[in-house]
Amino acid sequence: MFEITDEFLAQAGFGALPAEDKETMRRNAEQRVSTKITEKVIVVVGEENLDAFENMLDGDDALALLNWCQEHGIDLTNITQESMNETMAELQKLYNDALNAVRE
Amino acid sequence: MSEKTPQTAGQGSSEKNAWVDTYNDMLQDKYKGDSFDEAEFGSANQSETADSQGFSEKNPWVDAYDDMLHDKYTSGSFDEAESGAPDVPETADSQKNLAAALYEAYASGDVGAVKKAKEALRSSVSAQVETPSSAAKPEAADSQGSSEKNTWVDDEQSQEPVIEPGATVSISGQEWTVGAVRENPRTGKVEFVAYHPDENDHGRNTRGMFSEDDLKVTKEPVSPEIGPAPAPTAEDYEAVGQTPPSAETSDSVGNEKNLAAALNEAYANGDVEAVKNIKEGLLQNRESEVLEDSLARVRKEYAAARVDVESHFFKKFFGGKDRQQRLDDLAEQMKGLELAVAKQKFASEIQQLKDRAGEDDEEAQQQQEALAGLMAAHVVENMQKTEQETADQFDTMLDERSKVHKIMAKAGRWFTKDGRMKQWLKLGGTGAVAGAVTKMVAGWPVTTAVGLAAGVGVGNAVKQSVLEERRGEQRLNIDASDAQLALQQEAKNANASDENEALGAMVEASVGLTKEESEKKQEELRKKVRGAMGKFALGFAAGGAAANLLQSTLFGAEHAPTAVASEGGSTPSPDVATPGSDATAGAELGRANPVDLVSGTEGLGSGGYEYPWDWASEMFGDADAAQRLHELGEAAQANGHNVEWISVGGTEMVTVDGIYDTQYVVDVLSQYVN
Repeated sequence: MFEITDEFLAQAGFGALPAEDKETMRRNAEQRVSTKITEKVIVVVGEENLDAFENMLDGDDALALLNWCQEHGIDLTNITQESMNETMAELQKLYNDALNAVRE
Repeated sequence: MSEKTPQTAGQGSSEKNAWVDTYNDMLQDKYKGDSFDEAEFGSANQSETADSQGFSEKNPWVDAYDDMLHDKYTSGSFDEAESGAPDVPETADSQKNLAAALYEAYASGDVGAVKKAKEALRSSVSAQVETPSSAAKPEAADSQGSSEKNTWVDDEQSQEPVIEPGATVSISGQEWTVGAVRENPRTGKVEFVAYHPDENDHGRNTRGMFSEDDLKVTKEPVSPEIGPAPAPTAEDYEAVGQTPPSAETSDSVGNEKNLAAALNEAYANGDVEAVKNIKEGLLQNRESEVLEDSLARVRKEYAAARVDVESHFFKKFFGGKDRQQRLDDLAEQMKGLELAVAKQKFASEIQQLKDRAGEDDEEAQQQQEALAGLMAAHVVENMQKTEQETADQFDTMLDERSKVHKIMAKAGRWFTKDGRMKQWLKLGGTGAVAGAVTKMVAGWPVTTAVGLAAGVGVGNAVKQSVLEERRGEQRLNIDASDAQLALQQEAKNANASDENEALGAMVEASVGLTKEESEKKQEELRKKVRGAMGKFALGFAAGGAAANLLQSTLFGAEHAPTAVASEGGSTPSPDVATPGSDATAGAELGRANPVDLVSGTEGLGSGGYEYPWDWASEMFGDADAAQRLHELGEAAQANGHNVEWISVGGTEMVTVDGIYDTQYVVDVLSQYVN
């Protein structure tokens, strides 16, 4: 649903990392975005639909899951974009803080 | 043996203080029944508190003195005594000479000379032992905390702190009550738990573990929340039921011992420069220990807070906000500590770059940026580890509190980067879908953040967006055209064969607007876009504003005032779907009242601004809005208004005279616009 590209990392301030560190950073960013997506999805699902949602997740029918999300107002694209935006903003802030620490 | 043979009774005095016994024997033999009473040799009596091991390592000249006495009175020869012990280090000549002078004074029976020689020797040794806690200090057989004194030359009347349960000791100018006491079997030092009467924010007394060496060492907490410095070993943490510090901390303890040994050697060699450097190293080591242990504590608290939030995930109205706030605060605290630790870790590299300042500014700047990236990546890595450890702990919980966490894990398997949904897409899943689901899926994968490039200053010169370049132009037009540029960039990154198709899909997929929603909503959404960009410039998380970014940038009133995509994804307006048609359409509109641009719009409310930032953005531009708001706030403050800036969960809010209302705030601040 999403991809942490080199451009994403560069925009966040991590374009100059060595290859190995960059891949580690990519994995960490993916994990952060994934966590945000799942949290946001759960919030929209709501407590009352949690069991039904879990049943859908336990199945293998991706189309049914997508339809279920659509029917219950879970805009996965929007949620994914939000999560990417938030992660980007956090990483940029962290990078700036680190840069200030280096320049102090 | 003298009856007053020292207070090392019960502590193996004969074993540890053979030289004193020899000395006393000497006195008995030489001066039996004569005028030198033992009060004259009181300092010598005290010297038996010196630990023999400590002396042999740290005070070779004393051992030499012992040898000298022994040889004198066993061989009957004065030769060795007079020539001094051959193995006394060259640099200890002054102390050797003082010892020899003391011996001579005793031998001559000159009481005045004895006193003078003792005083001189005491001063010399006191200067030697004025060191950090663990270095160059003879261990006291007397376990009553005489840790920093070379007691055999100390004043007989000196007071020593008592370390026993219930006693009060002074640490860093504060009074602590001693709890459990023990002697560390490895170091032989007395260590104890102590409690401070001040309460921390958890309603508990501050508690710490200390060594006898700490009684005169300042242990200021890094911050009021962090508390005193912890005990040096994992074993000691466990003794009071605390989690042992990380391996790194244990290594730093070993490092401190090495530094202490090196310091002792530097003193023995008289190397002033080395002493100074090692002392600084010890201080940094101690600061590093405090940071590491503070970080360990905050990590634990963060993990507990995260579990708390997930356990009460839906209980928003029953302390939910407080739990989330606490989690957010701890996350910020953890980030700060992680960054401080990273800064220490890279201290030498940072210093090297500073030393190079001026040589080649551009290259130095690039290297600073690269180093900042490494440090930030290090912080992210550690924070992810904490998250993972928290999740792992949570997985062990089997009761219903973990239900949300369990479902999150299942959702993650579907919706993560390489989750089952992606696998389904790869297998051609899109061929089977229709209608709205197709449009949703067509917007995947999302590969970048939208609209943030201009908002956050990134050190490595991310290309400034058109917003920055076109500052001062008509706001409405700029927003629309820049949003188009942002979308174009995003579309290029998207895995779409046709840019128009990607944009169209994004439009339809992002629609949250229905036909029933008025164009007023569009204008409000556009204002949120500007609000979001301003907040990004101040380092805020995107939050809810970014969620509306796509809609508002696409449905800006100046492009398609009536183009509202309906639920279910109707065909978007051609203006929106053809980014090639440039900003001229918007430019024709010119500067206009936002209300007028939107047909059939109800009043947008007071001034049409949702936040004071929106007004400031209109007045001064996005880049200057935040700064000008602060300046106007200061001007209002100077004129008698009460202006407060409040940071809540990463978002900054302003109140004037205690009032949050945007219109009131704007009305007041606008009075001070020049």
